[in-house]
This record gives sequence, C-alpha cells and structure tokens, in this order.
Amino acid sequence: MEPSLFKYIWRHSKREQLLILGVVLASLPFYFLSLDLPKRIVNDAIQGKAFAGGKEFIRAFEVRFDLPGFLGGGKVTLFDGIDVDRLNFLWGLSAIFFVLVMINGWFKKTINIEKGVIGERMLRRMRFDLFLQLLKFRPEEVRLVKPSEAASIIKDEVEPIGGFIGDAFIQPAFLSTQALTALAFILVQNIWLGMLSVLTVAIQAVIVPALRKKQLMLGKERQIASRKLAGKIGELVEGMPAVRTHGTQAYESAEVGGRLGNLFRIRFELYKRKFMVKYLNNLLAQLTPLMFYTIGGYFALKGTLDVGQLVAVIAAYKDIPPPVKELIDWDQQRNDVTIKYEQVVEQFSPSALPPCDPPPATPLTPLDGKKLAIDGLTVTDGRGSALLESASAHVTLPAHVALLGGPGSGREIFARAAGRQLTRYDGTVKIGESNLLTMDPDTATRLIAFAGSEPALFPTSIRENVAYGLRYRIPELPGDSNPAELRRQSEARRTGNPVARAEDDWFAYDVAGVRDMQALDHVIVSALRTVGLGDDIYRFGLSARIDPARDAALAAELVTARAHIHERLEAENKTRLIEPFDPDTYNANGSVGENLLFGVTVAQGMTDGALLSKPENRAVLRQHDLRLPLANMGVQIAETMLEIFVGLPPGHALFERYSFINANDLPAYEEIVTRWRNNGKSLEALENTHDMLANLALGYVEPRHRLGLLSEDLKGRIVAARKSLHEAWRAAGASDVEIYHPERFCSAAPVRDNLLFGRVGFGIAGANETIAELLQSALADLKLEEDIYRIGLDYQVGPGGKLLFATQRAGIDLARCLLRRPDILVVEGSLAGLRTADAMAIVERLRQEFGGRTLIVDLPEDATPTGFDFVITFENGRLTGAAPPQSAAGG
Amino acid sequence: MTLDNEVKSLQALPMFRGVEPAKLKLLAFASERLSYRAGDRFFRQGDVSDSAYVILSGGVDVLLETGADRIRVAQIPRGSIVGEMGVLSGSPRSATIEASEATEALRIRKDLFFDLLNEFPQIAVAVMRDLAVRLEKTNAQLSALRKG
Repeated sequence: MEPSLFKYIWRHSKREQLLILGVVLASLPFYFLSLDLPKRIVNDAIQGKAFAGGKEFIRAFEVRFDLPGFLGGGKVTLFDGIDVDRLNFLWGLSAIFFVLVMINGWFKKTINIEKGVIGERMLRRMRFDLFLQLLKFRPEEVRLVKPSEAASIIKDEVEPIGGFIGDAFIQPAFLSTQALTALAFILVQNIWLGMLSVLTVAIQAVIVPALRKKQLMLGKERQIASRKLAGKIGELVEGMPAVRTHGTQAYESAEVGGRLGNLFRIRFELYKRKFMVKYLNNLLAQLTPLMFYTIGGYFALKGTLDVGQLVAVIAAYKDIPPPVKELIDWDQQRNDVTIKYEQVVEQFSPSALPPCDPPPATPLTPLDGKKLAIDGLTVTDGRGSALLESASAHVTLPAHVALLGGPGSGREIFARAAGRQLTRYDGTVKIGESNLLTMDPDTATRLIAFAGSEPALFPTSIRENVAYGLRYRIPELPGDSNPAELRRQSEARRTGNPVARAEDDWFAYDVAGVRDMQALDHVIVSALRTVGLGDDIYRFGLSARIDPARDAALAAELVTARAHIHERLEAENKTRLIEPFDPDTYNANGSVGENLLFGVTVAQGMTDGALLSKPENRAVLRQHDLRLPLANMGVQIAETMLEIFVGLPPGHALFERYSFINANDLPAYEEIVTRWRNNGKSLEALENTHDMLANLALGYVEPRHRLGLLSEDLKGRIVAARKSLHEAWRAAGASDVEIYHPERFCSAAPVRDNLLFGRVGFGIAGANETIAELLQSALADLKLEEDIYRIGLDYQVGPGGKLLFATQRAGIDLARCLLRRPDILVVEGSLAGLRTADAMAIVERLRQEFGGRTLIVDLPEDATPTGFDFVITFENGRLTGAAPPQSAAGG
Repeated sequence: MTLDNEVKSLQALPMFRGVEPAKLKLLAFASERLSYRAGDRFFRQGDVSDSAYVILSGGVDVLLETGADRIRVAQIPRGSIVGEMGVLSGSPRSATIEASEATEALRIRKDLFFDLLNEFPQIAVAVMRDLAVRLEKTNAQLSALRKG
C-alpha cells in the first residue's frame, strides 16, 4: 500500500478534488461581495452618502464593466439600473445582500456534501485495500494477526482518516483564501488595523501548533492502546474456557481494567490540552475585536476611518479567526491522520511472497507419470531450531502415500509443505516442473486440497461449510439496467471494489460433477458419509425442526411415514416400544404436563408450568377439579424427595440429577410438607401452596417414577381437561401450544418426534436402540433417508464450528476437500481424535475414492499401511524412510 | 410395581441386608427399571461397561463368547447384582449376559453407581459382600476342577 497518505489521496481522487477546488474558487467573488455590501449599506444607504447633495433619486444597480484593451476596449452594459430613493435603495441593497447570503450558503452546502462523499469513497477504497493486503499475508504471518485487532484497524482506526480526506486539499484552499480575502479587505480599509489582524493571526499560527505537538503524541498512543484493547477482548473471548476452568477472572479483570485506566489517562491528558488550546484561541478571538473597537474607534473619532469602514472591518475581522483556527485544526488533523495512516499501513505490510509463475503452458493434469519431488526441505521455527531437516522424497504420481511418525517427528511439517500451507522453507517442493511455492493460485487450488488439524469453519450451516470450497466462480452481472444496480456497479468500480455480487451464485457446480444445488446436496451427503459423519448428519436431521410452510411436501410425507412406522411396529411385534399419541387417551409414558397440553410449546423455553399457571388455563383445571388432585400428587412427590434425599447436601450431584426439586426450592417445599403433615395430610387449607405443588406434578411419569400417584379416574379427568384447554385455545385464537394432531405435522417438535408420534415405553431394555434401527429401516423403505440427511445439512455449526465436536469439524473440512475432487489430497491431523479402527476405516474409504488420484495421509501411530503405494517415515525432525511398503513376508 | 414395592424386594435381598430403606429408595428411584423377556440381552462381551444391574426377579445367564461358540459359565438368580465388575474396573465387558427367563432388573448407570458408593458406605459394603460371595464360589469351583 502507498506509504504516503497524500499521494494515496491524490492518486485516487484527483479529479474530484480539482472539481471542488473549482467550485471553491467560483464561490469567492460572492464571498468578497458579501463582505463589501454591509459597508455600502451602512454608508451609502443608511447614512445617505450616495444621496449626498440632496438627491432624491439615484440611478443604482447598474451592471456595467469595462472590457480590457485586447478585446476592443469599450464598455459593456448588462443592466442600465433603475432610479431609487433612499429607502428603496436600502431595500435593494439588503435584497442583494440576502441573495448573496443564500448563494454563499448554497456553495457551502454543496462543498460540504462533496467533501463528505469524496471522503467516504476513499474510505471504502482504503478499507478494501487493507482487506486485500490481509489476503496477501503468508500463512505463517496470518497466524500471528489478532483477529479483533485487524477488525479494529479496518473498521475504527481508518474512520478519522476518511473524515480528513475530503478536507485534505480543499480545506486549506478554501479557508486560506477566505482568511486572506478578509485580511486583504481589512488591509485595504486601514493599514494599521490590517497589521493588527496579521499579528493576531501570526500569534495563533505559531503558538497553537507548538502546544499541540504533545497532543499528537498522545493521539498515537491512544490509537495503539485502543487497538490493543480490542485485541485483548477478542483474545479473552476465545480463551474463555481457560479462564473459567482455572478461575483467573480476577486477573483478567485487573488486566482489562488497567488498560481502560490507561486509555482514560491518555484521554484526560488530551482533553486538558485540547480545551487549553481552545481557551487560548477564543481569548485571542475576543480580544482583537475589543482592540478594534478601541483603536478603530480612536481612528474613527480622529476622522481617518469612517464608521462604515470600521463596521465592515469588524465584520471582516470576525471572519478571520474561524478560518485561521480551522486551518490550524486542519494542520493538527493532518499530522494526526498521517501518523494514523502510517501506523495502519505498517500493520498491514505483509512480507512479499515470491512472485507467482504464470499458469503452466501445458496443463499439469493428468498427473500420470509426473513426480512429486521434495528436495532438501528444511523448516525452522521462529527461533531457528529445525522442525524438519533436509527431507527428500521422490514419488511418481498418482500414488497413495502414507506418512508415519509421532508428534514432533516432522511429519506434520512435511504434510503442510506438500499441502501449500507453508511458505517459509529451504529446499524445493515440485510437481513435475512446477514449483509449488510459486505456482499461480488458480492452478494450485485446483490441484491440491489440504485438510488439517485446525479446520476453519464459518458460522453457517453444515451444507454451506462443506460447499465453501466451490465458491470461486465469479458470477455474471445481471443484464438488467435497473438504476439502483447500475449505480451500485459504478460506485464499486470507482472505489476499486469488486463489481460481482456476493448474493449471486458463486458455486462451481461442475467441479463437483453436478448441475445445481439440489444435486449438490446428494454429493455433500455422500462426501460426509465417506469421512464417517453420515450418522451424525442423520441424527442432526432427526432432531431438527422443519417449517411445514416451506417444505409442505416433505411434512406431508413424514406424516404418512407415521402410519408406516406403526405398521412396522405391529408387524415385528414391537408395539410395546412406543405408546402412540391418541387425543382421547392418556399417554402413560408421557408426563402429566405433556398429557394436559398434548402439544409442544411454540416459544422455546416456556415451561409447561408457566403456561398452565396462566389465569385462563388455570380456570380450566379448576373446572375439571384437577387443582387439588395435582397438588396432592405434588405434595406426595415432595415428601418422597425429602425422604430419599435426606442427608445429602443440596448441591450434591445426585440431587441435581435425579430430584424433582432443585436445591434452591428445597426449604420452601420442606416447609410445605411439614404444614401438610401437621394439617392431617390435607391440603384443603393450604390454598397458596397449590400452584407450587401442582408444578411438581407436571413432570411426573408413572412408569418412570413409580410412585403410584395416578389413578384411572385422574387420568380420565386429565384427558377431559385437555380437550377443554384445546377448545378454549381455539376459541381465543391462542397459539402458545402447537397441538398434536394425528394427521398433521407439528412444526414445534423435532422430526423424530413427528415420525414416532408417541412416547418410548419406559422400562423396556434397549428400546431406544431398537426404535432407532426400525426408524432407519422404515425411512429407507419410504425413500425418505435422503430427506433426513438434507435436513441434517441445515444444522448450524456456530462461530468457528463451536457447536460441533473437534472430530466433526475435522470431518467437515475433509468433506469440503472431497467435494472439489482435487488431483492431490493431503490429510494431516484430521483423523487425530478418532480411534485407530475408525480412522483406518475412513482412510480405506478415502483410498477408494481417490483410486487413480493422489492421496497423502498421515496414519495413526499403530496402524499398518496396507494398500499404500509409498510409505514415508519420520522421526525427530528427519525423514527416515521413503519407499514402497515392505511386502508381507511369505507364509 | 411401585417404588415402595421395589424397595421391599430390595430389602429382601441378602446383598442389601442392613441398608436403610431410604437409601434403597434413592437407589430404586434414580435407577431405571427394565423388563426383559427370555433371551433378551443385557450386554455383550467387549461392550463398554456403562452400568450395573440388580436382578429383582427372574434370572440371567453368563455367557463367554469364543469365536463362534457361546459357553454358559454361570447362572445368576434374582437378588444379585451383575455388571458391577466392568464398571468398577473400567474394562470392557468380560462376558455376555442374557435373561434366561422373564426378568425385571434395576439398571444403575456408572456415575450414579459411583455416587452411591461414595455417599453411602452401606451400599458399598453390600456390593463388596456380593463380589466376595461370588469370588468364594468361583474359587470353590476352580479347586473342584483342579482336583477332578
């Protein structure tokens, strides 16, 4: 990036700056006129100088000027003027003054808007250029960049630079001409007053910058401290698990507090200085008119200066300090912004990569017969110790290469170099004749894909993450000439930004061998299965919710599947595994609350208890005579809880996991149970406890908790209450709960619940596994498996993929590489978290997928490289063997 | 069967002799009650040991899988605990356990098991007692085999 700020600004906004300069110049005559006019008004009109000699009328407002000699001499009269008396003269002059004021104001507005626009355009360009710089960083350098610092620089630190750009050339031009004009005017009127003005300006121009030098240094300090604060906070967010585990909150709080304190100190110093300077400026600005009145008044009384002149001079003088002050401010800003810019550019100066070779004349692929030649590969860490020393290997491609070696053996380094992840090394890595380091990016990314131990995932769905590798085909611009779109494009071109739109389709479907997004889903699922994530996606799909409004066809099919599944259960004599939801029956394997609502609360997080304690719902319960029975259930549950958990401290794990009551509420329930016992085990008189107790009862499931609290009669009443609740909700149009309907899809419940449409029977061993198997087989029969996988692909992975396990993240990265069908796949560390057997199963599938292409994979330490063409072993940073695997000894 | 009935059954077992009813109730409440038909499998040899089972009624067969063969090495009647060895040692299951008839069992998951052992020494003693009895039986069988 251009190291000098002014050169950067000039290069990219030359035309606009000159244009505005022209406008500024054009505004000057009007400005000068507006300075002159007050004098004429006072002298000629009010004081009547123009009417001296008793004239009643004068000819005024003539517009006439003389042509210079080379154009022929003579006069040009545009307007002959009219005859006016004094009053009309005054009105006329005032009218002209008013018009001038409007014109000057309009000029100012135009100039300000244009300056703002120039600034914002430059800012857009600058931010984008910084972003481009970021893309140029070597992998080794990017590692050292703190994301939040970089974000803070691009977003916040360049903002004041943008604000300055509009002013960079124009402001000094505008202001200095203004000030000089006013100054010249004063000098013309009276030389002494003029000299006084010049003196005041000189004082301001010298003292103020001197005072502000310190401010500049403080500004620089502040910029750096602010950036570091952003970096620290980003760092803390990333490292929050460590803070929590080791309890270092106090230390981190002190750290951040210290930084904030430092920022405050810098700010405080800045404020003090800033307002000191302001004070001085104002002082000077006020003193001088005072002197004008005194000295000017003296001259006026003496007669060497007329009053009109004095008034005009004072008016003109009022116009000097502001531009001078602003000029000084501009200078300050200039210094400040230049420092900021230099700071920013320095941070974003990646060390230059060696220049790229042009794309090879003869295409590299197919690779048959070419060699992967690694010679003398030496990689050192930052401190000079060798991570890998002088590794050399020659492999004829295509080949399946196994890398063996423990951590620290240099194996990972080798893999990373082969996978284009390293740029600082000695030695060469070549494919055929092309050096991998200088290969042009297009060829290189088509040729080699790398799946590593630190996969980079984006906070979108699994589908988006896996398909990310295909997002490089620049889409065509839309052909329509919609004005907003044209404007967008022209602005983008003007500021050096890309013209293509991010919302269009960037996927290179052909690379994955498909035509569109629908077919891509199929390939994505297949890739995920290869890397062993098939079951995970399937499970995500089953536990996801779908929107029947959007996927009406799928929702209908899933409802049809319900019947099929129940038929299967009957056919295989497994009906005891699931108790289906029946609107007219109590579901013994569901809780009391579930049975009452017979649906799912739409607002995730609203508990059954909260819903049922709403007045209208409570009324229904009372109507069916359920309040007291539920409360009775609750008190018996509470009694049992207290009995069996006696002696355990409330925070105990057993308590937390198995008790109906949580630790905080324990004393309250204890009290209620005591009162109940004292009351002869009757709740009649204890009305205010009924709510709390009924809440306990809502979670009760007879086959699970086995306290014998549900009678047939009670069950019957609950079903009746259910119906009343449903009717009440229907009548009131309430939609807190989505009711289970045997023929409809429940959008608030996950897919699995919709398919099984019932509760799994408690107390039957292996029920969940059997049901899962049956479900899978039924879905396969109905050809719905693909749809479940498709739904599973919508799963959001969270920032950095945090909502997934490490092995799942690695799998997605690997699948992403598979989708691109590269000629060479390098896998390093992706299989690390898996058991050897699972890892080798994936390796086997990868080998099948890459038959005829090249696969370089690191194997778990205790694995045997069967089926590989080439085995490279590493130990202690050295390559210790590179040969085809030893054939098994006979016998 | 309600919780109270289960506690009564547990109390009748020699293993839990001397353990307070309240503790047995906690044990019963926190565990899962499972019904098995004849031939239903509790767990297979080699599986991860994730829970222990108290046989409330019925009985189970202990089978060793060797390749294609399954040898029944023991039969465990009601009143015993099975699967606790794997949980305590952390190793995979050393044998396969199947119900020999209609069986009711209480399944105690691993973390619950250890919580109970740590909190209630009586339960720990009960488990140890059962293991000791079984070990004595096995030793007796072994010496009988040696002699014969």
